[in-house]
Amino acid sequence: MLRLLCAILILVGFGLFGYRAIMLDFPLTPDERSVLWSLEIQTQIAPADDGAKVSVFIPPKEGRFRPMNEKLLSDRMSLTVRSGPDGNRKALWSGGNIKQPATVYYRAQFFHQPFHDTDKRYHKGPEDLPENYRFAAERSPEQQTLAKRLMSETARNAYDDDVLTSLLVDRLRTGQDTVTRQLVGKEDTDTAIASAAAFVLSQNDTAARVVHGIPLGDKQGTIPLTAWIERWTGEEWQAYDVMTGDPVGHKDMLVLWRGDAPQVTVDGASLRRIRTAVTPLDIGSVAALAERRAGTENLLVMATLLDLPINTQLVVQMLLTIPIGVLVLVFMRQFIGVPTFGTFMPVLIALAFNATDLLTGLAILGTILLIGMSFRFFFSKLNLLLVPRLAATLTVIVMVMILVSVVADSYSLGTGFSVTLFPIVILTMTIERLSVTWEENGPEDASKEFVGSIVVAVAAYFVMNLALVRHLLFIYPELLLVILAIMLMMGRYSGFRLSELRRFRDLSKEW
Amino acid sequence: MIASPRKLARRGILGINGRNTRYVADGNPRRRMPLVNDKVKTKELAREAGVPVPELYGVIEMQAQIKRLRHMLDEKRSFVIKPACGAQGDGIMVVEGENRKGWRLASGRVLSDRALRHHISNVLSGMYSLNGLQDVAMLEETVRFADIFGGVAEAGVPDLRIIVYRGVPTMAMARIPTRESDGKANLHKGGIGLGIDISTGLTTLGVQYDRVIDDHPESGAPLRGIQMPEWRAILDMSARCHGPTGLDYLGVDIVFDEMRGPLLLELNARPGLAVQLANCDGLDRRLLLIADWVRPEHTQDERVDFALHSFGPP
Repeated sequence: MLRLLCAILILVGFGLFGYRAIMLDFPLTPDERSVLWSLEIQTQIAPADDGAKVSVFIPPKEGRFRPMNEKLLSDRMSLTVRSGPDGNRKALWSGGNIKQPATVYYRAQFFHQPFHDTDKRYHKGPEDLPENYRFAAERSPEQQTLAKRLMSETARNAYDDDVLTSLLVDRLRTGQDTVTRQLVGKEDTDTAIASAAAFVLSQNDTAARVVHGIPLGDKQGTIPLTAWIERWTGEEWQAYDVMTGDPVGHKDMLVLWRGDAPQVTVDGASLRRIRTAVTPLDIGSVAALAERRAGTENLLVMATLLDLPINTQLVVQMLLTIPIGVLVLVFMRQFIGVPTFGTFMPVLIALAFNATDLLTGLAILGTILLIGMSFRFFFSKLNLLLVPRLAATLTVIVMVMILVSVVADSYSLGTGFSVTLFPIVILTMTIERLSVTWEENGPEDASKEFVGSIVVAVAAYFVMNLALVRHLLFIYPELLLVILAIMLMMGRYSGFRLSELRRFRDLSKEW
Repeated sequence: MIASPRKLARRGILGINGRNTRYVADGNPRRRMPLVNDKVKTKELAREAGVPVPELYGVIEMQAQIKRLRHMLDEKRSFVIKPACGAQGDGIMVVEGENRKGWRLASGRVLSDRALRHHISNVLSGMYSLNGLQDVAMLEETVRFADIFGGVAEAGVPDLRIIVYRGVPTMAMARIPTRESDGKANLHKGGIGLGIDISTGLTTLGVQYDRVIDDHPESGAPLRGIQMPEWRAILDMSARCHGPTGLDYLGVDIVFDEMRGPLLLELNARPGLAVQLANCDGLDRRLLLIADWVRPEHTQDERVDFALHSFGPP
């Protein structure tokens, strides 16, 4: 019965978890940085009486970052989006008789794919691209000669294509000779260097191309475009940074487009302004998931706690950690045999530590217990009845708490608010239990139980505060079923406790 | 420093988890627990089963009844005040007589009438009860303890603890107070647990603070080989507690009265496991033997005989 029940619970719990994690791509780990950025590419053109056509590269659909909620906006211009074989996408706006300066916008949010750290599967190799696909734009015969010359000079010192690419990029960036100057051009921007490098490499039948993109990080606002080159190694596209010549991973780079073409081309009017701006949305992966869910109809995607108002979410998040804390407690009691006050007192203390931080929490707990205990001993001398005595202790605790808040506030320790979150009633019962144990079984037993409770509370606090644990339980509340099953199984654990191995040590000796 | 769990399991040692799951949870129905937690109910049960108990003079259930204390006591001036749901002897007050100043206690203190009433009032409010709930106060005959342990038990009142499983006495020990335990027979506080061989009623070895000892740590008196009187009768009366309680796994606490012989003091549905140390044997081993053998049709005599034959010294 119990085994069957546990098996079902575990199966259902892990089944739902697995399905949502793998099939629905729910995030498995909490991201410390933001994983959602909003990007805006704004292009403004001058008025044109005879109409105009604006073509803007917009980020590829596939890759390490995926666009969501894409919006292409313009003022009375018609729009079409074209995709190239290499994944490039171009938005084409066109309109007749543009009287005022017109602006077109591309807006989207980008979500960091949590599972696909490598984006190679989205990128076709040269053999999969059409035959007439050009990695680098054609240049004049003189340029081709120069490229071959540079290539033969560089190739002499290069062991393989990887080193060759690095050397080439270095030479193009730093070179003062006429060859490199003519190849790169007057402006030695990273775009110019990258495009020259791609050209030289492609003259040597090496598949290489320029990539344009922007870094997605903490920076906000208009961000200058960066260019780098990609070389086909035979298996994947390897990126090389133009400023260093080194192969790089480019994990944080959002690719805008690949190739030599300019970001924006305008026919029939003059280009006034291009602006590419990024805003990191200050939310965790959880919120990113919430954004991503917009518009899905799958019930298993919909069924998350992310629809709750944010305050409720915080409460739910806390509630979800309680079973974990209790699990720690059950383990400490049933398997180790740590003596504690009451059943769930340590977990409630751990929750209270959550509100402050651990050290402050311990200090406050110590203060309250110390003062509360001394009053309790005083009360016990008065021979009071139980309930009024408890009430009196509770009142003293409330007074101590207010005192601690005031003191903490005047030293601007900033714990004033959270002090009140200490469960007052629990503390009252703790003091009662502590002093009863003290009087009846002596200070030794009392301090044993007290230390045990604190140890369990601190352990529970640490487990409950693991970012991963919180995240997993919040995104996959079905894991509670697994926790439930574990608890049920622990409920029939009939083996020894660690403390008993010591207690019965004399029984294993003489045999 | 610590024992290997496999070694302990091979010797049939029972741990707390094992006791709670396999014997308490599986053998002691919850709704029958109040019968042993409440000493008034235990007393009624014992009377029905023909087990001798200290006489009950009266029960004070409400604060208003405290006034009727003298009426309940009749002419008796020696009695014990006991909380019905107390644990570990807390709240027990032994009154020896009355003089001009008030009540004379066994400890030598003299308590005014008012102070005594206050104590009873505290008992009623649940100060000494296990769960802090309201309690009742029992007025009981004072037991005149017979000195069956010779010089060993000089610091207080010893009692016998017998584990009974399905009506079969399984393991026994005497709990002997020391000066260190402040005259209480509480093993946590330094009382001595003294193993008793079920088959003979002879004491075997002692434990204090979970360590095995051969002599009394304070007087140096040897602990081994003291014969319990009326051993068969003790086993009989402890076995008799199984039927009316309906609890499979039971701890039976017995004291010796000079005049009346063994008396049942209280029952325990979750008896502790120190008895294993005092007997240097595993409870689980014996419990499994019993579970294997015992059938519902076995009479009580057969069960006690089984214990006498099966459970010798290790």
